[in-house]
Amino acid sequence: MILNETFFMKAASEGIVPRHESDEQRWSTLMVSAQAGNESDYRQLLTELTDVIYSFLCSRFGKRHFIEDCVQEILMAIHQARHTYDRNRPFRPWLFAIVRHKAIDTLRKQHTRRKHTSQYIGEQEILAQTSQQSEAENEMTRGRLFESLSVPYREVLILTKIIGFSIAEAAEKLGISESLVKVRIHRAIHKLRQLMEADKL
Amino acid sequence: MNKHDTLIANLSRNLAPVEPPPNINRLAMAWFLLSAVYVVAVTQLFGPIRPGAISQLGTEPRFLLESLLGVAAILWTSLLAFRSAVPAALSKPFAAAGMVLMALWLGQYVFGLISPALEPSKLGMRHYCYFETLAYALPVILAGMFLLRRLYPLRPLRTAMSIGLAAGMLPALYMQLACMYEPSHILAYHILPGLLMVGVSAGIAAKWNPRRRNK
Repeated sequence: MILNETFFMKAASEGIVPRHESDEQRWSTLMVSAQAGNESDYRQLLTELTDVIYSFLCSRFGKRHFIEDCVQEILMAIHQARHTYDRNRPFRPWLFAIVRHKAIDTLRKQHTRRKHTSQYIGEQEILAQTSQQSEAENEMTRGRLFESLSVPYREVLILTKIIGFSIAEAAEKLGISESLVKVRIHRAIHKLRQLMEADKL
Repeated sequence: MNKHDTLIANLSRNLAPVEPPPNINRLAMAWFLLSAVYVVAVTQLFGPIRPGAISQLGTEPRFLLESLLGVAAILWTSLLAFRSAVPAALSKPFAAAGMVLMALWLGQYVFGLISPALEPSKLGMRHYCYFETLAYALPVILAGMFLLRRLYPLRPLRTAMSIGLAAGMLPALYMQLACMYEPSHILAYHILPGLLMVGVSAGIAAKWNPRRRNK
């Protein structure tokens, strides 16, 4: 096993095997070994995947507080689903199917997080000027998936999932009904899911 | 040690070997074939099939096509359901093809309202075909969910609904031979209860979710 890993890493660093392919082969080998109960290979696999998942999520959503939770959820999901990995299938699609699903799932389940509100200096200005680009929005649009969302969808996600306001509070700040906030959140998440699924890796 | 490292250490400690994944297509085929045998057997047990129904498959090409289309649609849906229980095993074109096939098959009966494949008649009518379809499909759904419990459907509700559709349509299709042939009767008494099983399986999945229980 160690020989395989060394070979793939060396081959990738020397450009003999493209990095993408060497990762694919190494992860597949490590996962098969983990399925047989090899703890050290599994630990190495999860450690490598943590970095990959973290980078993936940051590039899509920007550096947000929920990314940490999301990575943890994904690691748990990989653990629960490890028996479904088939060595005859490529590893990356299996991995990213879980990553995409869990990322959206975690975002959807984000509850009110008052403690995060303090991250934003001048919260009152953000709330009073929701039509303007807020600090939160600037942070968020660094993730390219959010750039694809229309302003109304982005606004509700920022207020409810990122800043952490309740539906009622978000409705009040935006001057729309609570049900419209719910509809927009639902549609925004659906749109994000579509964008994630269409994402070429 | 950050929290990711702690989690990784916890997950990899005392790591138990896991059984290799089953061949998902073979598993789906086995479920489909055993379910088909069960549906045929139990339907025969509770009443004879329509006289002359088997021979009509040989003499009426459109009836044969309609039946074969049904078999293909249900088989495809079964594969679709099982594949959806493994991350990345179900492609969008495969899922779309299954839905198209199912729509084509059901569309045959709607078209049959104008131009039926067979001369409509009450010959072979079963008085409880509606309830039979519901009752025969239920064990098939439960068997499917039992097989799927070890897999990891990312969208359990969707997987359950696909299983429900395939399971509900199996007795609905066989009723084509076992019960009277009349498109409006088929739609209302065979297809409709078959479709209802989609909701039933979604309800079962919502109540019984092994992954949620393990959390």
